[in-house]
Amino acid sequence: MAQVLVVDDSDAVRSEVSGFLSKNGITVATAVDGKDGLVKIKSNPDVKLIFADVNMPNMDGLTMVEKIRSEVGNKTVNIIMLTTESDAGMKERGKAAGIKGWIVKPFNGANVLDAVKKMVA
Amino acid sequence: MKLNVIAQPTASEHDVLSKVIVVEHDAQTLAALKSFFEECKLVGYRASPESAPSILGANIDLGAIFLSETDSNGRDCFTLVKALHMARPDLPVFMRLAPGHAPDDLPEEVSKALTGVYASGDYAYVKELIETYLFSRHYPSEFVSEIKAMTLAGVQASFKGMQVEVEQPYIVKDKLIYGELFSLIPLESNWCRGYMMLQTEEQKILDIIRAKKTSVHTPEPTFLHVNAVLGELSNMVWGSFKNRYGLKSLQEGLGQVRVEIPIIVNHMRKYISFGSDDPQLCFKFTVTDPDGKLDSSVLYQKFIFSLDWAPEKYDESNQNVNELVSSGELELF
Repeated sequence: MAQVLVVDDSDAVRSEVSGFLSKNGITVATAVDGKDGLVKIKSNPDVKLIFADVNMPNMDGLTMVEKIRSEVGNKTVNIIMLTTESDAGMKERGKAAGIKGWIVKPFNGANVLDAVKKMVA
Repeated sequence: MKLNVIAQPTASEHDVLSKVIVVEHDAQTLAALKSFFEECKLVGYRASPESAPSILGANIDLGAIFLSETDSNGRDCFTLVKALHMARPDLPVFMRLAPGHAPDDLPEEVSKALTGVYASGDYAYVKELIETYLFSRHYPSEFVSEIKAMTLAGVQASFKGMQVEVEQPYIVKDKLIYGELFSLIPLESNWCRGYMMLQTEEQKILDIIRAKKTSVHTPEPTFLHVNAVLGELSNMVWGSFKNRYGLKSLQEGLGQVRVEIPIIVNHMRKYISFGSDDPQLCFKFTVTDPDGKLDSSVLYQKFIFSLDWAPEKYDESNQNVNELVSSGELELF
């Protein structure tokens, strides 16, 4: 059972984030875009935390987050956006959809490990 | 190939230079060119008529060619002029006329291959030529500094534990492709629009991945993993650019005609054209293993603002640009 879902179209980011979390004893599933993320969250209902990129093909990360809340009906999963974006409007849109945090890439695992452990506990 | 550098201008960190080939035998002219190049921020590489084609072949990031009408034996260099122009049609060629000769004395096919001719000592005119054909674009120093810092941060984040050095920024007229792969991503603000291109060599990045110095962790990396590293680096730089300068034209330009120009790639010639002859801003990053176990890897970054370029608007709006974003930190809501 995955505890964390990493949704990013970049193989490098999926590899880095999932590798770091796995080394720290956290089980991880991955998805390659927002559409895939929706499928994976449905098949992994025990996921406690999602790391999601914003700019992805097929479905962007913010749309995916909104659909997780509305279409999937998952109101509790923690979501952190991991993106190159830092636009205030995008952050507001994310907040409105109930995201818990925002990280501007690159990913620095040491900076987030404590928060991640609390969210998946 | 070891290059004979005849001029290496003193430059502040963000001065934009250009590299030129010089085929010149006259000692007095060489001394004058050295001084002129240093004043005009040109790095001069000396070549003989015999070595010029191979030096040209080994350097794909040049700005122009300077040569004299005759060689040290008094023979004309017309065949060389035509050959150089044929090999590198994008490079402006400036020729010093032999004493007593006039532009009209040149054969028509030679004149067509030349961008400009000048008489010995007429460096005021040469300056006009390079301002017209080489430094025809002003890249604001602060902008150059910012995009260099953005990219440096991205390269350092992509290649962990590696040393990263960046050369003085320079402009190129060449449209040749370095290495085997490149990324291309559109860039846009309210004062510029075009592309960023990152070019590199596959094997050297593969070796860095194998040494576990990137974010990709796999025992048997393939070219797809190289693509992933280059793609994510490009994405980070794009994001920094967007965060800093915004995509204001998308909002402000609604209803305006939006120009697009086809990009042409000739794979056989390793050549890419964005449909514009404007000089491209280039940064050369070298990624080196501090332990000396890996070969250094080179990344060429080129900015091609072929669709819109209005730096005066950058200067006007520079006070209003967004602060550079601190990355890697979790902002909790």
